[in-house]
Amino acid sequence: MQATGIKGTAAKTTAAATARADGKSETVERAGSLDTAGIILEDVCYEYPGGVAALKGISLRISQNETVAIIGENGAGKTTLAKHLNGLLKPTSGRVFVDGVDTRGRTCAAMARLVGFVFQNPDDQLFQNQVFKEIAFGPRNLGYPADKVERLVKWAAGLVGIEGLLERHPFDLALAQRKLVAIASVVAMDTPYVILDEPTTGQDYPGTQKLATLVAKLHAAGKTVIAITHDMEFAAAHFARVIALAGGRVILDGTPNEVFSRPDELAMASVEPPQMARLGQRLGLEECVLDQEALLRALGLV
Amino acid sequence: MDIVVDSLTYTYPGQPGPALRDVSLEVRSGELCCLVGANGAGKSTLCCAVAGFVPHFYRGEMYGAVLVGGQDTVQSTIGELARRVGIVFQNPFDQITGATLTVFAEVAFGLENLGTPREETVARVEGALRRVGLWEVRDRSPFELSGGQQQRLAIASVLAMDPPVIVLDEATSQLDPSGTREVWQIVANLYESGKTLLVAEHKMEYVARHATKVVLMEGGRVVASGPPSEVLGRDDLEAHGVGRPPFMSVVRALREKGLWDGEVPLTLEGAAEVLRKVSGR
Amino acid sequence: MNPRSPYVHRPSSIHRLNPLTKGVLFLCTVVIAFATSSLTTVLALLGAVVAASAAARVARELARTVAKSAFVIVALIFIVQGLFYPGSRTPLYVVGPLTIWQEGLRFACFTASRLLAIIGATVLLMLTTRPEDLVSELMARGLSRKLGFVVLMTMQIIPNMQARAAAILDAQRSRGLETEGRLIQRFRAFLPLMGPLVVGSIISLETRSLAIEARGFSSPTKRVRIEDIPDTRWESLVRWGASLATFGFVVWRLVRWISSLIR
Repeated sequence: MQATGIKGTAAKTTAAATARADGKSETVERAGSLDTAGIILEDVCYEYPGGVAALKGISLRISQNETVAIIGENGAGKTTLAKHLNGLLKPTSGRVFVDGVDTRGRTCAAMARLVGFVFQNPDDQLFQNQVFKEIAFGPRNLGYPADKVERLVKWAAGLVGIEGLLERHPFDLALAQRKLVAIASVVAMDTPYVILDEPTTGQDYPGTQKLATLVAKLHAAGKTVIAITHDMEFAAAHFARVIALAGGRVILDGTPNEVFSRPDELAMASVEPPQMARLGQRLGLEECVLDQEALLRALGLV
Repeated sequence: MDIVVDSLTYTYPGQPGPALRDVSLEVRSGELCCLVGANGAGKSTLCCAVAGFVPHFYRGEMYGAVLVGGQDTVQSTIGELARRVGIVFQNPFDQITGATLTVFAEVAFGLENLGTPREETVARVEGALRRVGLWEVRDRSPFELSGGQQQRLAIASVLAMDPPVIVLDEATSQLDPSGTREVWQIVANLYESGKTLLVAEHKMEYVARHATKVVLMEGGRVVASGPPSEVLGRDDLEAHGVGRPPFMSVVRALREKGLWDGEVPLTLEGAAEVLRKVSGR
Repeated sequence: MNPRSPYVHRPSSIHRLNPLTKGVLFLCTVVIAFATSSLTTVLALLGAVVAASAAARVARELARTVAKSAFVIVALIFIVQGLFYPGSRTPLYVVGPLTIWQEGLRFACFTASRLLAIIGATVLLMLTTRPEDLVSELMARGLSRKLGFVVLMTMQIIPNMQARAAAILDAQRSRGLETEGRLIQRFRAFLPLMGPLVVGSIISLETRSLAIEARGFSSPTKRVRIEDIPDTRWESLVRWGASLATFGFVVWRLVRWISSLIR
């Protein structure tokens, strides 16, 4: 299965992901060191105008080529956090670096070369009368020549699995398909970092499979993929690292196995572990199991 | 009140091919029937046909018939149908009328339109709001609610009109896990109270647990219909664009290995029970 | 409550008036302000608006809103009319090459007071009356259900569109669209920002119409509201009285105007 394939390779890259809620000082130290690659958050706080504190001191490091799922209930600060990674929001205090670039000094449009961000609602970004043009909009904004734009559009459409829709009008498509178009239109910008805000919402089974393939292929292409998701099956199967937020703080950060073996903290984030983990917990397994093979093996049934 | 769909073929205006092709379906009174299938399979169109929006609202070309409680939807007006069929859509925000200032008034909107006497309206609105757990927020603006609450508000608005048939067209697809759970709790509760329910849904865990009947659709056609264990137990389920709940796959794997020859359970707890028996834990 | 509506809830007799009464009085004020040419009448109207706002306990909000919306234009009226009012004869001050005329200032006073009375009446109506109540009252008195509903929906949807516009701006900036800077850049950003707004609104409008149809909107039965907005015979008398007086005033002004033409 695809899922296990990704995890095999991606797991190695998580070695760099040492930034835990408890490892704050370590992260801060690293930010000052020579190695500036990756996304670094230093004690980021954010308050919305009006005084609602959405992020309360987040420090973490996301290395290049990681696959990260951000989980937590609505209002936990997931989208606010993600908007800091491409400079849409600037921290009220603390700093965010992307490959050594401080986001405070850059406009969001300038950060778009580094970080691609797919919004939750595709209808907030689609406006062209043809899927091809829509996907080409981002690369054109980055000033790429026509032949490169065309190559990128086809590449992105292929990754998302919508090659067949390039000639269609985006608004003749169903919401879930429009969402895939929106994803392709950001992927086509060929940024080293890609952020997906709730990509699986409203997707059917084939759509979710396409997104799983996309994550794997982006990872294989050397990109960093960060997804906000409510779908724990998706998070557990296709991402090497899971970060759980609650009340504007990171409460868990680690491999899916590590994170989903902490039901008490997950309950704080109003998150229910994936089905296999729940089955394992019901059967009193000590270890956390996330797929069928692991469950059967742990029960001695293989 | 039962639903009978008889060889329904329907094409949206301006579309080259039909969205529904020769669909026949029967939902008995008091059943909880789930429509499953990939996007574009025709689930939403079928929901709209049962509510009468196809063809009353969308026009287009329709052959065959839809009977709700024995009455042909084409012969009824949308106003009459509103008393028989309530429908809840995918996007909670878009279903708020925008004409009311409070949650209470929002739920009363339908009854006001139907000319219900005032005392009765007030009583029914209270009943509906209590049923979906929104009585406490009755004086808030509908726009201030969370997505899950807005969806429960949409359900309450429909419930207040007390239609015997309730249709949910992917009503949980834009919600987070807790919102989804809340909506399904209400659906289960409505089923207990004897409503006839037609529910289009992607989250198979809930379909398996709650449905009394599952209809698998693909490309505008009905591929299979029957009890959930039968339809969700099909070997070719994934090929038709529907993912099997992982807990069912585990038990099926045990069956393939010859370790289990009983039923495939429809709940996670059931699957845990099977695994416990088989592994001897 | 709609957070973007200027309505301020206060326990006052003005707030408790039937919205129709407030609507009629507002219209009367506007009509008289337009019809009159006497400074005294306009000042009386302005005084009435201020007094009513004090009774409604929203005088401060009224002053703030009116000042914000009318300051620039009132200043302009005084400058332009004071300096350039045609047919001015009586110089008041001479400042270098500029002369401020008495006639000009008098006309500016009149125009500005008229404007302030009209803006003040509008703001007062908005501060003390929920638009939804006014439309709903009009619908109860025979305004077409469809028309009334379109008005209500539009009022609610405009603030929602503002929120969506912000989300669209974020989404397009994330795709490398420069929305700041030179005019040409902002002009280029127009379509990517307006397109999703319009199409998105059409999509949600479709769902919304389905949702209201499913709630018996087209039902031929007469609508029964859950709460009636209280109305008294006294208020009805005020409405009729004010309407007739305004009508009489307009007729009187017309007669005066026509007779002045004949003479």
